[in-house]
Amino acid sequence: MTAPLEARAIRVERGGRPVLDRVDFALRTGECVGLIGPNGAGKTTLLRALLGLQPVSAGRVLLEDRPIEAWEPSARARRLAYLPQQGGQAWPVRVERFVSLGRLPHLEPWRGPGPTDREAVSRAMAAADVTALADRPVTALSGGEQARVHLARALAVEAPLLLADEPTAGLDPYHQLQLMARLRALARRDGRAVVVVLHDLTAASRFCDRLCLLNAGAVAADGPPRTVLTPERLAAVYGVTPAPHPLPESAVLPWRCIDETRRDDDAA
Amino acid sequence: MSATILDAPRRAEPPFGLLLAGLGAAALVAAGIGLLGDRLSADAVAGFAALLGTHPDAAWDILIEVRLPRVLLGAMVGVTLGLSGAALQGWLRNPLAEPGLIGASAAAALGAVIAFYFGIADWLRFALPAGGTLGALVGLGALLLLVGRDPSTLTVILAGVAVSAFAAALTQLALNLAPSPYAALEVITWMMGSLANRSLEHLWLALPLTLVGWALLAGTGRALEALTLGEDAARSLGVRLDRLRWRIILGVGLSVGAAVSVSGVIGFVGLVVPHLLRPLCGYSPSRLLPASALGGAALVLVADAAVRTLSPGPELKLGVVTALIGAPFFLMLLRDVRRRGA
Repeated sequence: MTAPLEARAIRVERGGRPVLDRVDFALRTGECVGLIGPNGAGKTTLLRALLGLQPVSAGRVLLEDRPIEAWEPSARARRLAYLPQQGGQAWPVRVERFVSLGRLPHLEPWRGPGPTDREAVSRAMAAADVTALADRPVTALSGGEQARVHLARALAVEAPLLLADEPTAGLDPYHQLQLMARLRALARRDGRAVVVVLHDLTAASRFCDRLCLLNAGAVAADGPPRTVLTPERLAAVYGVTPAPHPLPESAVLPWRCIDETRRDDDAA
Repeated sequence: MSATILDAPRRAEPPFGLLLAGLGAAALVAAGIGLLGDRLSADAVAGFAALLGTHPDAAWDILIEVRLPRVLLGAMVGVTLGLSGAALQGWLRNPLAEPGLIGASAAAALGAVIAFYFGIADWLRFALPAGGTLGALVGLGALLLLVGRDPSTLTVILAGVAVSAFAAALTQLALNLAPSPYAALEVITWMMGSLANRSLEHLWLALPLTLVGWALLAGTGRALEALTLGEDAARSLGVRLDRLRWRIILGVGLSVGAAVSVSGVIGFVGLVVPHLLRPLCGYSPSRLLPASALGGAALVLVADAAVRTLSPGPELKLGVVTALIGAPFFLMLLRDVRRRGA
């Protein structure tokens, strides 16, 4: 299977210091890849380099076998959607209009959104569970609700590739699970490809087909969750170790959505 | 869908077409008032009607040579200020931005004063708007250098203050060195900002640069829309931020430079108009562009009619009046922004 998005031996420097060095990464159609690693490992930098937002000082990034910087920006934007870690909302725009910003790369010059665009927007709003918020100003929402609205905006692009930077941050457990199931379904059912930056290793191992573990700007491991998250590697990279079963403290782990047991959740 | 307290204070958003039509109609009415008479009163209108009966040629001359240029220039300046303010606020994602605050107006005034001062404007008519535009572009160029690679609102506004202050100082220097007090007085009067005693020639001089500036700004709507999401998300949606920056700098520089060189500095219109119209446009930066352009024209024309009609004694300068009303408005806005930030 060919990889529509690929980074080959890329190096990114900031202030003379390498933030990423000789990083190889490939995203294949139909897979949901978790990008994990401790704080400052270079996860966001890798995403931005894959998007062409971050210039690389060595190596190259290829989108459909063409260098990312050679793409016309709106053509690139139709193939590659991005959900940044810190979503901005400059004005108190209505949620529905905000989500429809995701359709900008699809619009003809000087034209507004058409029926196709409106359908894509309502699909994205339903998928991110924000349909009920459609008429609220986005700035008046809670942090978690805003995160879901940003997700809807990124889904509305309906790009074959989606790169999401910590989309579960700030979400309640129900919406975290729902979001992860949604991303996996996007890859498995709709034949798209997703890269998702995560800190929750449990969620990463449950929902991702493959994990890429970054440490200090280099790829420490890349493969199925079982082979990446070994106790030795967790100890070396994160300084944590799997908890014993059963836990000595009382804790509720792991959980699942009550109404989602039938379809997208861990049934697979 | 249940309404919550958060939804309650939200004003209804009128249909966009209706909003534009209303603003256009307001501008036309204000322009009509401007054509009716210098000082609007029943006597003046009756007098003009009488003149139209007895000396139709003279009446037409007054209309075409005296009143029409003033109204057309007012509309041009208003569109420029409204459009520039809306574009700058969308670009910087800050409701406090306007051509005056980022130094474009002061730098344009300096450029025009230099054209005046060295007498270039006397032997080359086009030198005045060209000087104003050049001044505005140099000012905005200096702003970009000061801002460097960090165009956060705070740095842009601080840099704008610096550019404004320096341009004002150089303007003062030119006045200080002026060969005669009359020359200085002429410049000071012009800088107060007014539409009085302008001819159609002023319009023809300023219009070409202005139109280029408008065209550049009119094409920024979609990029400004995407910037609502922040810079990275906007770039991921295909926006070229470097191109947008040049469009806005050139568009504001050309149109504001040309406007300032014919009318002097008319402040705060570019601040007030986009701010008042934004909720009515559903906070959409691209819809705000045309709305703000029409609203700017309407506001300048209404203010000019008010200045002519309501001035006690000698006619007040338009720029002085807009600053008198605009500065407290700016303070109010600042208070709201701080309250929301707190």
